[in-house]
Formats: sequence, C-alpha cells, structure tokens
Amino acid sequence: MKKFLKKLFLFSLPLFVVWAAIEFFYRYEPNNYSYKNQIIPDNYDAEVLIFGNSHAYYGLNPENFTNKAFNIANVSQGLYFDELLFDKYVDVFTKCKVLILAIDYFTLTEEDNNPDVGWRKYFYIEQMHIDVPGVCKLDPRCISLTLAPRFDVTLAAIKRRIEEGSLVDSSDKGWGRHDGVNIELNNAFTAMATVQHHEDANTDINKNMARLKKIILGCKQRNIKIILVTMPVTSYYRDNIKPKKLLTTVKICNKLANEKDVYYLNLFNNKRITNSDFYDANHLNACGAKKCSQIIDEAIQKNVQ
Amino acid sequence: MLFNSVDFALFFPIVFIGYWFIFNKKLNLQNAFLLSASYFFYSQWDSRFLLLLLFSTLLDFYAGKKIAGTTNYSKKKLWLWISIGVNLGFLAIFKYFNFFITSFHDVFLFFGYKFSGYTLSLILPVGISFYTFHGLSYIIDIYKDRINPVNNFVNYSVFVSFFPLLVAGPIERATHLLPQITKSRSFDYLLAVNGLKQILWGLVKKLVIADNCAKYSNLAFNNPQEYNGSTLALGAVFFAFQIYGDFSGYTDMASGISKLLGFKLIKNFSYPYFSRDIAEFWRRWHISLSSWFRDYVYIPLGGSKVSKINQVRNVFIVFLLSGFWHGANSTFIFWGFLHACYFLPLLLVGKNKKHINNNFEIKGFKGIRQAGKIIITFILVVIAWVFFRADNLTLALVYLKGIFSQSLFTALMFFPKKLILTVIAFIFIEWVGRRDEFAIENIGYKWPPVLRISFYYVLVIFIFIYITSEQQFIYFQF
Repeated sequence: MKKFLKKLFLFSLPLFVVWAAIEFFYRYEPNNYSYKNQIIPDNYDAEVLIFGNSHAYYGLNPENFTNKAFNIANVSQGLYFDELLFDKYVDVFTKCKVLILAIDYFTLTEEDNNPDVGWRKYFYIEQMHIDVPGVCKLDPRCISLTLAPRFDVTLAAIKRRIEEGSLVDSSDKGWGRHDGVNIELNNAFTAMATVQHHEDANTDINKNMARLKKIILGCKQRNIKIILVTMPVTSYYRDNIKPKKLLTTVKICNKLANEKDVYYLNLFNNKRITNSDFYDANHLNACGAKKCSQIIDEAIQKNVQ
Repeated sequence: MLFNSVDFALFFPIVFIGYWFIFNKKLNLQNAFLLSASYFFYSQWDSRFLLLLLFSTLLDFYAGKKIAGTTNYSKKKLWLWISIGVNLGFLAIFKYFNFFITSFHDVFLFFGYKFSGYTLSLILPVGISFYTFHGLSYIIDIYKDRINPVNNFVNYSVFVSFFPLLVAGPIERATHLLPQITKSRSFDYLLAVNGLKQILWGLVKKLVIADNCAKYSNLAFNNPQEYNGSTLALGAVFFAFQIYGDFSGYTDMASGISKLLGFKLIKNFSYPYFSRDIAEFWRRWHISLSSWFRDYVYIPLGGSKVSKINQVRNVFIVFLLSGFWHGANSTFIFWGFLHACYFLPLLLVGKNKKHINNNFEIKGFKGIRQAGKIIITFILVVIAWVFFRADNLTLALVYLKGIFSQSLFTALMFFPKKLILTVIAFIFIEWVGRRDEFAIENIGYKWPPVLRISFYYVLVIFIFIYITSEQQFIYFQF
C-alpha cells in the first residue's frame, strides 16, 4: 500500500502544481466578475441600470445614454443571476430611475443548472460576493475556483490573458466592447449552432416568470421604471429560431408592458440594425451597441421620463 | 454523482481510506462500510428510491432463503415467482407503464375504438434495470441449485448495491461477485495499479471520445432535415463512438474503482467494433447483459438445442427483450428486431459461432477480407444505432433516408478535423490493445518508465483539454 500511495502521490504531484497555479491565476488575475465588483461602488449614482446576458453586456453602452448609466449585465447571466444581483444592489443605486432588462429569445426558458453556465455561480459567489441559494460553503468549487469551469474554459482564459494582456473586457461603466465583424463567427453556419445551443428543450417558464415578476414588483415598490428589451440579432440567427417560441416571449413581454411603469421594446428584428453591426451571430459590436443604446435612450427620453 | 465529477473525486478517496485503513480489520465491518458508502452514493441521485432498493434487496434475500430452505418444489416455485413478479412489477410500473398505456391507446385508436387509460408521471429510479437483474440472477441461481443463499444480509446488500456498478452495471452474477464479497480482501498493488490505468482509459473514452462525439451527433440527430447525407452518416458514426465511449468508459471506470477496492468485475466490452459479424458483435458488446439473456432466457427456452424454427423464435425473443430492456420506446424494440434480423442468416447457415477467438488476420488477402467484414459489420451496427438514438421511428427513417440519398456523396457540412484524428488515434490504440481487458492495460509495459509515465500524462492532458460540460452517461437512463 505504501508503494502504491507513494507512486500515486508522485504521479499526481505535477497535476497539483498545475492546479495551484490555476487557482492563483483565478484568484489574483482580475476578470469581469472581480472588476465589476470593484467598479460598482464608483457608479452608485447611476440613474439607468442595465441587467441581462451577453446580448445586453456587449449591446448596451452606458456612454450612449443621456442619463448616467451602468451596465451590470454579464455573459450567460440569466434571470436567475439578474434577480440575485437586483436583490443585492437595487437599494445601493439610490438614484436609479430606470432599469433595463434584456428578455431574449431564450431568457424565459433558460434552466438554472445549465452545465455550460453552472460554473459561473462560483465566480458570482467568490468574486461578486453574491449569496447563491443552494450552494454549500463547503462545495469544493467554492473552495477552489480551478474546479469550477471546464478545463477548456481555463485554457481559453489563460490564452486570452497572454494574447490580450487582460481578462477584463468591461469598461468602467460595465460595458463589454467588441470591435468590427468576425466573419468566422458572423455567418449562417455559426448562427445555426448558436441557436441550437440556445435551445435547451425546456418549456417550463414558470421559474423565470416568477423572477421577472419579482424584479418588476421590486422596481414598482421603489418607483423605478422598467424597460424590457428583446435585443437584436443577425438575420442568420433569426432564420434558425422557432417562431412560436419567440412569439411566446413577445406576447408575455407585451402583456407585462400593459402594466403601469413597464415598457417593452422588441428590437429582435430592428431595421436600423444590420448584420454588419454584429461581431458574431448574436452579439453587437461597438457600432451596433451605439445604435442599439441610442434607440433605447430615445425611448427613455420620449416615453419613460 | 458521476464518476467524472468533483464530488466523486472527494467521495472516493474517503471511501478508499476508510475501507483500507479503518475498517480493514474485520470483513463484516468493511462490508458494512462499503454498503453505507454505496447507499450514500445512490442517495446522491435520489434518496427517495433508496427505499425501493432496500425493499427489493430484502425481498430477494428472504426469497432466496425460502427457496433454499424447502424441499417442496411448489413452494420453491412460489417464492421464485413472487420475487420475479415483484421485481419485474417494479420495473414495469416505473419503466414501462406509460409505454403500455399509450401503446394500447394507439392500437385501439387504429381499430376505431377509444381507450382511455391514465398515464403516471413517474421518475425512473436510477439503475433499476441493473439492480433488478442482479437480484433476479441471484434468485434464479438459487432455484437452479447453482449457488447457496447468503446468510449475511449486509453481504447480500453489497452484492446488489455495490456502488461502482449500482447505476449502470455491468450486471454481475451472484456466482462471480458474492464469493469475492464474503471472502476477506487484502490490498493488491498490481491490481490497484491496473485499476488506476483502467479508470484513466475509461475517462479518455468518456470525456475525450464520447462527450465530444456527442456534440456533433446531437447536431445531426436533433435536426436531420438540415444536413446532407454525408454529414448525417458522419453524425451516425459519431453516435456509434459516443455510445461506445460512454458505456464502455463507464464500465472501465467501474471496473477500475472495483479493483482499487480489491474486486474483479466481469468483462462487459471486448472491442465490439472489431467484430467480423453480428454474432461476434454480441459476444463483445454489453457482454453482461447478452450473457444474462443467454443464460436466463435463451437457454431455458431451449437455446440452440431445439428445431430451427424454435431457434429463430428464441433469437427474436432474446433480441426483442434486449431492446425492450433499454427502454419503453418502439425505437429500442426495433433496434433489437433489426439485430435479430442481422443475426438470423448467420444462425440459419450455422455460422453464428465462426469468430469466437480473438485472432485477427492482418496480412494478405485474408487480412483485407477480414477488414471488409469488420467494416460491413460496423456499418450494420451504425444503421441500427440510428434507431436506438432517434426520438421515434419516423425520425429514424427520416435520418436514414437522408443518409441514403444523393447528398451522401456531397461535401460534409461539419468536419471536426481534430476530433476525427482523435477518434482515429483512439481506434489505433484499441486495436493495439485488443487482446487485453482494456486497451492500455499493457501498452508501454516494456517501455522505459519515463516514456510510459509520459504516455499516461499525455492521456491526462488530453482529458483536460477535451473535457466538455458534464454530460450524463447514456446508460443511466436504462
């Protein structure tokens, strides 16, 4: 047994060293989570708050809003995390008058434990200090962030740090910048794969509806006006969606918009935004973000304020 | 709790330490600890079904004693049928009830009658098909006087619930595993090292091959209308490697973990895609299930010692049952039926036992002929997998129609070069190690230690690079 354990230890030693190095990387290299956590206090005076997933994170630039705005959206941030962030921050943004919430094609059906995004909760817990229900403090992934994401995610992060010099792509207003058009990603084939990736076969929208209604109620109680936005996508992406599913989302948002202080903007097929405004099949580039932000800002100035 | 999860990576070292360092003095304590660990492992899936598992274990333990304790043939038979009835009853309710109701509904509707039956919204208890078959083999073997009943309930419970094989097999026999449970065990260095290597290879199969092939096979099977024939054919081949990597990878991990605890499980896979005909495929694929059906269904029906017509009947019964075992869906039944059809010509011309050795000709004309046979068998198996994978028979036919169209000879719509090269490397390693229990068992045995260890590190690096999101093992649903 001694021989076995000794050899096993020696074989595992390099793996432990790699693990420790990755742990150090995740703990000490700033990323979008730790950076957002750091800049949020500097933006407590924002009047417009933007919540949502990567469509909102890359697509809505606070600099293009008339009122001071802050983008708290993030990649793969569904209503589950929107609600948790709302609960934590809504009362510290004391001047907030308008809340923009992206409700996209897949937002209402998104599952909480989607394995592709499930690892992110440990970063919300550790680096944004969000209290995520159901996660035990002794969960090994809370103790070691190395264990949270897949290894290819870690490798991609290390590669990005080496090539770009930073893991942070957020501005000091929380907006993620994409420049130009990536033709390898902005095409019909990638769009098909992206839409399939967004089809999780879930038809139960009750959980996400409850979250959405809770956020709306929380806004009403604080006299904050809420704008639900279905963000624009390329025609390639639109060609692959299930129209019935989109219609359900639009109907729900329109129904909610009949209530007081809730507005709905459906930009899914907005003519002012063309395929060249997108970095990939469904994320706006800096130029598209400017257009999209201006459309929403016009709506705020015209209808909401 | 998946074998390839962080949770299991914490669970198993605790079990290993407790098993070999704390409870190793007394066999009873060691087995009780193993049982507790197994129940804890199972409860991580769904603790509610632990009661079902316990009930099934208690019933079979008691029935086994009753059968052995009486000389009255009628009583023996009564207890045998009580056990079979209750076990299969649970399986029928949880797994097949809704299938029967909807099938009756469809049949009645076809003849113009209305049949209204209630369907139940039940969750399938994980591993029920596997532990039910463990229990049945125990009871039938006692009834047939092949084994004596176990006197210690804990020992019997370990046999039914041993965590490495509890949720997806292999389906162990009481004659093979029970003696290992009742005998004291000591740590075997060589067995443990062999076990670690097998776990490593299992992880490669699951995380490198199966999970990555799944990405592309899912694309093809989810939207067959969107792809041309060549892409659909590639998608079906990817599924063949997905299901093999998934299931045999799980088996390798289960077997490796068992070896670390001093147990040897029966072999469940023996390089099935190198089979030269369908009969050989079934001697190499899911061996524990096919041999179970052979011993407890085919042979009691008369096996091959009856007339040709009855042999044909027996073959169809076994293959249809095998398909049905996989799930309550007409696709699985048709998959079984198709394999029976493949098997039939071999049976009729008496060539179903032609390839019972592991000697492959690799040179000259015989080698080419053999390679041709392997490829034809593989194509037949892949066609059958289409029915296994598709959501329903119509979609399976749409998929096959898509493959066998003119677009079969057009350019691929996806061509994951890296993955294809990896699958080719995988086939090569499997071919090199085809005479061993698992492919890398003896690879590098004569190499210098540095080279051998480097080879293992390369596999580890491959696992980490290729690892995708945590995907369930396909066979957990059965």
